[in-house]
Amino acid sequence: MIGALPNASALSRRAAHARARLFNTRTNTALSIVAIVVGGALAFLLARFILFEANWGLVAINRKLFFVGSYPPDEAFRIWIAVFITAVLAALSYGLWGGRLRPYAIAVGVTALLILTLGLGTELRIEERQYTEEIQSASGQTTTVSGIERELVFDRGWAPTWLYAVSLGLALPFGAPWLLMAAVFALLVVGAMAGRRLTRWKSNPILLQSIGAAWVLLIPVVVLLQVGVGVDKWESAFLDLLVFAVGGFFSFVIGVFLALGRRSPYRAISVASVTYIEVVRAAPLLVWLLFATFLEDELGPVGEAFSNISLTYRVMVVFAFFGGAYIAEVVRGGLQSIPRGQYEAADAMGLSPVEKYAVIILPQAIRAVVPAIIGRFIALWKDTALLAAVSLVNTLEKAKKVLGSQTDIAEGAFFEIYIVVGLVYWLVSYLLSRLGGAAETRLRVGAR
Amino acid sequence: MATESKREIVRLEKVTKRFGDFTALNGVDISVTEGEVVAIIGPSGSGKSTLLRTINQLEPHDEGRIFFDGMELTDDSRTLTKIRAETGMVFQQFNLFPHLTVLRNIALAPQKVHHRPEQEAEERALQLLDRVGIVEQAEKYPGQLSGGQQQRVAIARALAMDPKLMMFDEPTSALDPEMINEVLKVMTELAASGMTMICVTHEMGFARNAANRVIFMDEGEIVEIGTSAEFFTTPREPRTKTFLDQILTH
Ligand SMILES: Nc1ncnc2c1ncn2[C@@H]1O[C@H](COP(=O)(O)OP(=O)(O)O)[C@@H](O)[C@H]1O
Ligand SMILES: [Mg+2]
Repeated sequence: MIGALPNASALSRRAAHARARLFNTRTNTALSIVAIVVGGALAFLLARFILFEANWGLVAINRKLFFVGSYPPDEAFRIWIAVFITAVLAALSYGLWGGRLRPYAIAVGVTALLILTLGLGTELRIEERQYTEEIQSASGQTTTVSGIERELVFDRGWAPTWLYAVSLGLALPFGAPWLLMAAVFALLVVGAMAGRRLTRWKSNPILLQSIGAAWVLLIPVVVLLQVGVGVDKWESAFLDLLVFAVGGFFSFVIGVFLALGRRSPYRAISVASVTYIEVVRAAPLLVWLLFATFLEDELGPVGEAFSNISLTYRVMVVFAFFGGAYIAEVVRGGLQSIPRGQYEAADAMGLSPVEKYAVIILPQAIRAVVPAIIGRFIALWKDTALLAAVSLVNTLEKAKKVLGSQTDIAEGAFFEIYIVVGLVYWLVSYLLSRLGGAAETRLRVGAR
Repeated sequence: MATESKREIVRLEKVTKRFGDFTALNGVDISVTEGEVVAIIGPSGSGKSTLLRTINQLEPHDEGRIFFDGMELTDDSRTLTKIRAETGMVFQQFNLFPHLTVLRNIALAPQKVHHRPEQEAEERALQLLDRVGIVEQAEKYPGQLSGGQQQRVAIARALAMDPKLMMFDEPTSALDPEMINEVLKVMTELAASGMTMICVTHEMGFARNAANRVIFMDEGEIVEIGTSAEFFTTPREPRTKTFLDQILTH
């Protein structure tokens, strides 16, 4: 279904190709053999660890912490609403425009469903055992030590533990009833089918604009849903995602305005833009984050007002303005690639400067630099790892806390925990780059 | 020559344009009346493009006065809005918007500048495409068309504003030879329909047959103006003769 298997002749062609490329000279053959041996050994060790040795139960039992941290369980509906809206929007957009992503979507969906099914009914618990032990000291005395020992126990044993761990993580990311997760799946499928139905109108400006607007509105809606709980409760992947979404969105807006400001005919504006861009890029993000944390009333009333805002919001502001400086430079490159004739044609037909930039220049300039913009977004996403440095509990910090606080069951489980942290960063980066790739091909239609 | 009763569309009085120390236009006087077709010829760098571009103020002039349909072009932005909304310009390099379909390229300005409803603007765009003979390309993107087709779209785009004046800046110079005629044909039909036109061109056949008057420019000045019949048969100025000899004898 997902793609025809290469036929025999293609395989033998590949083998011939490999012989010609990898084993053509003595040096090349030696290098290839070394690479295969080393790579194979690494792959073997990794596979052995993942399949048999790793303590995935630890990950499974802490899954909620990885996703939403210590978000109040009674308020979990706020996150579920956000998840539902996102699922519907994503599925609709995918159904409408995601043709190129279909193989990936099907692969991910089928795998997820398989794992889900396997995981149903699995039970994972921590068993506590009373233990008594006699310890012989050096002087020959015997002392009796007793206490409680905790152990992770899986209830079913016919599939490897990692499969249970993954399935539990997927099925119940928030420790929620699997019915909710099933609802998300249903929404995804129905949304995608509805999107497919609508493909006839996929170039319709009203549909385009409303779905675009819905995506943009999603961010404030998710934030507004937190009224009553407070952003201070955001932790883990949920915190990272929101800081990235808010910061990324506004960094794009700020970046576009800075790029335009840089070439403004008013010198004050262009000098201010250039100065801003250069100053912001002169220091690492960490420094700006620390500024935002410790900036109390040094800056007078402005600083005071700023420091009264919740740290999470302050960090989002820093992300937006920091990312904006970089996106500005990317967009500037795009603007420079637009030939003068485009400006002249727009001027000659009487478009206002705003119309000229909004309809003619920016759409082309931004299209020209989609890959670089996606690159900046991916960098910004991975920069959320720095949140730990300003005492926000991001995924990384949560992982450390799990390791530090559950010493009995988490003993030595660094690898398992950090693999999960790495997967969280990788997954979003990967989705962004696929999305960027799809956007690029789609937007290339009609380019000169 | 146009008769006295005809309305004057453009008048330039002693117009001068400088780029730094370099004088690209030096005291140019021209008057074009309604329905007239004027061809401008002259060697490269003689200021032909600059002349067109001062008329719609892509290059603001430094000295002299420019009148468009009785209104003087001044610093007042309203005069700028009017001249651009009421003139159409066709460029050597087409300058179509590559990210918009042919139809959107044409319907855009009427919608944004004249505030026409989308449907009306697009219907009109289709009529214009029909007029330049490529209505079947409406949904394509400019990059999918041949050069000649692109230039015809550019002409339709300029016409969509219902301009009082059409300006062409070497519209066939970037075209492969086999495509020149399809564009010249559209221009000739346009001239016959009574459109007021100023055309910078190297197509002497077009200048001779479709234009009422021919202007010869050199070094930022108008060297000679004549009716197209006089101009080619009995040029007065030696510089005109030299130029005509050069381009007509090869
Ligand atoms: N924006 C500009 N800046 C400086 N010089 C210019 C500019 N535009 C045109 N020129 C100069 O003005 C002269 C006339 O140019 P142009 O009107 O394009 O000539 P033509 O169209 O007759 O070939 C040329 O010498 C050209 O180099
Ligand atoms: Mg020129």
